[in-house]
Amino acid sequence: MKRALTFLTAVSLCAQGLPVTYERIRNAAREPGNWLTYSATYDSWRFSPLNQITTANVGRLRVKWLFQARSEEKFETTPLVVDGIMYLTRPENDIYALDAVTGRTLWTYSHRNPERTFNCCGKVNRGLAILGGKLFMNTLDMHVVAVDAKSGRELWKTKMFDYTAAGGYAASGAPLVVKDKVIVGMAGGERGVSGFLDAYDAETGKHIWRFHTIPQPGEPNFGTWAGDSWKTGGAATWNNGSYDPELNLVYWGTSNPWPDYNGDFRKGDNLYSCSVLALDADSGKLKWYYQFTPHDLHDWDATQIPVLFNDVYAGKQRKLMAWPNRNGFYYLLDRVTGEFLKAKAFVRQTWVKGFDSKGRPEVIPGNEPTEEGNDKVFPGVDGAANWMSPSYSPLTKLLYVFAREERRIFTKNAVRHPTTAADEGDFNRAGPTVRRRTPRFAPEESWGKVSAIDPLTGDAKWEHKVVSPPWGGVMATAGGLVFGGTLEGVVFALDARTGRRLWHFMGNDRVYSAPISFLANGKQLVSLPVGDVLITFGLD
Amino acid sequence: MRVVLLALFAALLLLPAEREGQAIFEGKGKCLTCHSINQKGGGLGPDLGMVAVTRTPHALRLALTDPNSEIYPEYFTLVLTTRRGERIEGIALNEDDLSIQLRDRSGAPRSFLKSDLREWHREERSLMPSYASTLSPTELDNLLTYLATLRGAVPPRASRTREIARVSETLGWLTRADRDADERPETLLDALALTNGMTVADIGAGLGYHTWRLARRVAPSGKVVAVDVQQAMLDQVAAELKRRGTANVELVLGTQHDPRLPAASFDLIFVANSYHEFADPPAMLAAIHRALRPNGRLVIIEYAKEARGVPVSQLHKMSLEDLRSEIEPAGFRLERILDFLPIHHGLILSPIR
Repeated sequence: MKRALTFLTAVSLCAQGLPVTYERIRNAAREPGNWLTYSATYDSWRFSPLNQITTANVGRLRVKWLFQARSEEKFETTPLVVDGIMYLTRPENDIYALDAVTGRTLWTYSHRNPERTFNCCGKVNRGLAILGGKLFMNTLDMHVVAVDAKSGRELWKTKMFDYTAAGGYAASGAPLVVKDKVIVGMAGGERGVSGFLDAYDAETGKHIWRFHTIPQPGEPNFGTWAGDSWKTGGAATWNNGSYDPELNLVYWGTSNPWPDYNGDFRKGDNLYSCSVLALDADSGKLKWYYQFTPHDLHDWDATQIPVLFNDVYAGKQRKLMAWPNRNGFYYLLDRVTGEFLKAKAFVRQTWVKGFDSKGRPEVIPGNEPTEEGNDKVFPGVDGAANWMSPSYSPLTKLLYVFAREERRIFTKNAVRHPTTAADEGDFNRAGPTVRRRTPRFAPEESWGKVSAIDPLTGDAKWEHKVVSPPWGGVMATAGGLVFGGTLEGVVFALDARTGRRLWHFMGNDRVYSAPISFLANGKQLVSLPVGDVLITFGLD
Repeated sequence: MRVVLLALFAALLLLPAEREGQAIFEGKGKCLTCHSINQKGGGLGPDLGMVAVTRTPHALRLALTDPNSEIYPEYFTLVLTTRRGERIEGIALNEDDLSIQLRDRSGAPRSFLKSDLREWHREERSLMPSYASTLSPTELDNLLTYLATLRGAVPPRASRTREIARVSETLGWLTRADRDADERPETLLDALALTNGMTVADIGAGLGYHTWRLARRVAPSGKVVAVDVQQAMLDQVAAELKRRGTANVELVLGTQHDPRLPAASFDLIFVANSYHEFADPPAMLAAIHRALRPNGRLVIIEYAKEARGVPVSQLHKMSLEDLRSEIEPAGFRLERILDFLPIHHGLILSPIR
């Protein structure tokens, strides 16, 4: 209780509303009552220092309010909270400002996309960034929008790229504000795009820099794609990144190379697909990269959230990066140099027998997609991790990962030039494809788990098993809890030290996002989208 | 009263073996405890109103004598044991981390908290009993004869109201990465029992997605005639065949009204994802009818309008009713529905002379 009071005092001192300065975001951990950036802090711990809700009282957690998005689309948003006001996106590209105490709507903003956009996996949006008094959102038709956080009025809108180019571009991730810039990624790894990461001036929307995730002619590593395959190589940047202010480096993961399951036309390592990039925040220049999956054939994007932490490794205090990857391995890297330190499988995997000293995987043959369909590969096409956020607790020093254990079929197909010309089938998958009858594997081969990984060793300290491979992320709190939600809509709080489930709520619809925690009227609340409803929980 | 008379009339139309079979179905076999026919009966097993077209006679006999030999995962047996020692068998309905729902043997939906269960597991066996020893061979034959009559109602020729999609020109959709998972092409062709020497037409060949697979199945002495109304598509087929080294395919440029196929020449005419684009369906069906050999078969594959979330615009989907009401009155008899396709209707029809 004493600690809670300390936090409350700290928060009331900080309760300054707008503007949200860069210094505030940089020190977001000092404002535990707010949620100022996608992953809570620049090191992307998605950790809430709030501790009113604890292992002792979480059993009394109950629903305080709902936000009804009334959408058929997957609800993937991470809201921001600034001193009693919550800002969130609902599909496709609407922004809502809500009173964080009651959930009542204060204002809304809508960006209307063309009817046909080229998102791979639903007309989704994952959230906002804020700086000063402006909210920033990426749109499915490849714009960045700045909206006044008080009024909901549009301040500027900048076109990132032609959304109909190649097989179609889209932007679904949340932007990341770094200093005076808005850093935004793009999607389209399934559509033969050419990936990039962009920075815009937060004040004016002016384009500042672009980093091409596929080296252009004359740049280093250009020759890692056969023939012209670099032109349509994918390597999108569709999730969020992290930032180290001391190093002034932005860390961002890249997607699969295109075509996803057929590497015949793109022989070579296909840099910088399936990689983490460390870019200078001011110039967008590449400082280092590490490629998790050279010449990927399984759509194993490296678009996970980079988790930054400092600890003693091999006797030396180091700046480290923890990365549970879609390809089934947990990676530990030095984030100053990009040096590969360790990789360890955190799910069942069949494709790697070891790593060389530089961290290049030694690949086991027989895991390639085939024309008949290869069903012997672990992990599956949606990966062991995907885009859903992990969480790191400085109290337990554990990394919490909601992992997928599954087997699927990998099929190699003929490939044509990507185009968005006159449609036949409608690419826009509104909601999940409900298959009437699909080959299903035994439940023993398809399930999910929250793993508490020691980030220095990669060993799992505990695992909490769930029925289905998840699509939601997790959040650890100073109350000793790990919150999350399953595909069936079971919202849970686990004991961060043991993995024991201490509380649950039957939400009964798919969870496609990760929780956040904040203060409203001085009380800790936890919010999580379940189905198309954002549920906010609190104690009485 | 009228209903009773109709039922009586229907019963009189049945042959003796069929009537015997129906009596077993409704009486001694107790089939209606779990199965329904046109919504009448139990809800534990699938409705059998169209079982004659969804299962081959061989599969039906196997299902009656050895129910565990072919079973879809949704009909696996879920076995629960409660903490008090009660054992419950049924068919899984739903599951999450804390609870599990099933339909028990009586057909009642029930829910259990996992904390109240000692144990639960799935078994790859059917809840259906085997009739191998409880029915005599004659009774079994009669039951099968009756089941073979359950083809659903032949829909009346409807005035066509659906809008016909224009002919597609895009390649992106045809080469999408998950097409195999949607269409299950090899499983589909397995069900068609193609053999060496057959002559097959592939109307609306597109990029030749099915063409080379069909050709492989009838090789070396059979052949496939690939028809499309767009030369550009035929060029793509030619390139695909060349790449694969497939030789036993002829390319034919058809028209919107005529696939330009010779009469009485084909063992199988295959129309996948293109019937809905026929500008003149009656003319095309008449031409297909002429082109089929007496024992030939017409195979129609279309995206199902009824399935939710199918990632295709409405114009490019068809309902089972659309398909049956247009095709069957044009002189075809529905022989089989390929119900293993995830999001397509698959129909095998034979020409009636």
